[in-house]
Amino acid sequence: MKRIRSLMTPVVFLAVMAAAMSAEPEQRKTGTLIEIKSTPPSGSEVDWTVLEPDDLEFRIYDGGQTFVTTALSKTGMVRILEIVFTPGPDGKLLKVKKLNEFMVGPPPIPKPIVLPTATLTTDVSSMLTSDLKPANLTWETSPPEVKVQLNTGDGPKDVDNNGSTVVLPQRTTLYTLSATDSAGRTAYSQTIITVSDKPPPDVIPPGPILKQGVRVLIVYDADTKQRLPASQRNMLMSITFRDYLDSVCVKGSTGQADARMYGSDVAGLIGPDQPELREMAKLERKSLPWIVVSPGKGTVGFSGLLPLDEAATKALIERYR
Amino acid sequence: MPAYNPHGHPIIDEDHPVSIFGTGYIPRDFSAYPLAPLKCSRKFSEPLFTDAEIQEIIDFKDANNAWLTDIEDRAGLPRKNQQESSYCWIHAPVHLMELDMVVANEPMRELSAFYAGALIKNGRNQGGSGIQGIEWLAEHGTCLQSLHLPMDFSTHNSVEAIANASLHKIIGHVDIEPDNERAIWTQVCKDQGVTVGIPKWGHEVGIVRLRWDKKAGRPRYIIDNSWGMEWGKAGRGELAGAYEIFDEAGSVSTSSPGVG
Repeated sequence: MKRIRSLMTPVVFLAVMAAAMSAEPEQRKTGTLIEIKSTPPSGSEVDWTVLEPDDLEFRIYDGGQTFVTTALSKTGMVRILEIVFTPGPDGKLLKVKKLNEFMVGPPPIPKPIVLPTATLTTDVSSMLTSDLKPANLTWETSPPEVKVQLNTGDGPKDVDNNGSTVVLPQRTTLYTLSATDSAGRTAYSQTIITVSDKPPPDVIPPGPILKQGVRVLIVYDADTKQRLPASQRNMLMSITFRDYLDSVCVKGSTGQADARMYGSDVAGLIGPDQPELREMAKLERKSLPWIVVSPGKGTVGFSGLLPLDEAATKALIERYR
Repeated sequence: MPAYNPHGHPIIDEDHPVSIFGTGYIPRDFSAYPLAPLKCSRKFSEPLFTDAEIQEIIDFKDANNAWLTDIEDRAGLPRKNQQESSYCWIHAPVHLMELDMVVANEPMRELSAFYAGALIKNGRNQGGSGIQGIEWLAEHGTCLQSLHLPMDFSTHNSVEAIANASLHKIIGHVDIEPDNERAIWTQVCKDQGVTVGIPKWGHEVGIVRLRWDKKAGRPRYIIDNSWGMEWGKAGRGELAGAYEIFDEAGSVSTSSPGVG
């Protein structure tokens, strides 16, 4: 609220405003013009209240001639006053008789509420009691103004907005990250590290539907073969592995076992005389080396990363025999 | 008297030269065929194996029969025989295509080197360089040997042969600086045969295996020759001395997954 009292004559008042305008001319170029039409007599005293003085200017008319100008300095929803002047008892004083509020311009676009976010991850999801080891917790939050706390099992503690720390769980532990903004809105993220005596169950992801009969397709990149672990390189050239594949895989039209190990993505070129391998080769490969196994029973096969060595690959194939 | 390496392969060097000087290898014209000149080619650029890594790989492969030669023998793939022709330059890459197929565990197929050679040379029995053969094999492929027999220099190209050849193409070729011996060792260690042109011999062959020479402290090259199974030890021998100096080297890194 700003209260301004003026005892100046209209002529003097005009001169003061004109000086202010010339000092800050850019403020006059914007806004929506609001006119308040009344006619204070010459030499009268004007008493008014401006709710948002930075947004308002007034035009006050003297016998039809403008001698004080006011205008909105910006658009948006702005409260202004309509001022109706009436003569005072002495015939000179003007007082505010009536105040009205107007909505001017389009409604302002409310500022979007930025909700806090929190993400907490660990690089180790499980470990054996007999093989306890450090794990890295890493977190990120937003926006920057939030207060961030991490609970590693001994109560929440303030931490940086983004960061990481090393923990050494002795038992299964739930880690909780919270990010709270100034309005009290909180985002949580949790991660758990399981510590147990037994290894976690080896979950086989749902596999592709393939024609029944054990077939194996391996795709690797021959050009970068030396970057593979030696155990994988050796498997790809192992006579015992090839003998195994030939013994477990169904025979194709040529009498050769349907087991292939291609050193490049030639899968799209597999001919129509090998329709099952062709279908297996069409499955998406997220990286190399990749293996697809069609099932000996049922229709659900396997499509995934090639295991690290011959024994693990044979074990995988055995699941689908 | 030939000398033999510990695996029984005859050693070919200045002291034990081959009795026949090849007439088939014409040194590659690097102005016409600079390194990696073909659409399917790329320059060798992979990390090189160290001596220690090469030694370890050789020891493992020796102990576990995991060389290209072992896969070849397991599949029953014979060494090729160019007979009295000058076609070593096309036999070497065609043999590497056959080898690539059995490495993929595809059925063993003998491909015709004479089909491609005769068409490239327009029926003439002439020498050439491996890159000429690879260029043709990448573009047109070659048919099964049963469709075009050895020593057949005819340019008759049947519809059946054309169609069959299109199923057996080179689709990846790694071109190697011929004096970069470590690159050649690395390629062979990662199970890619390397065709090499040997000016001392006037011959082109495929390197398919290494032997660690303790005395020399470096690997030696075991080759699949194209002089049939009677030559050397089942068609294989070891290069040494001036016979280890090459002026062309490249791998058939991938051939089509064969059908038909």
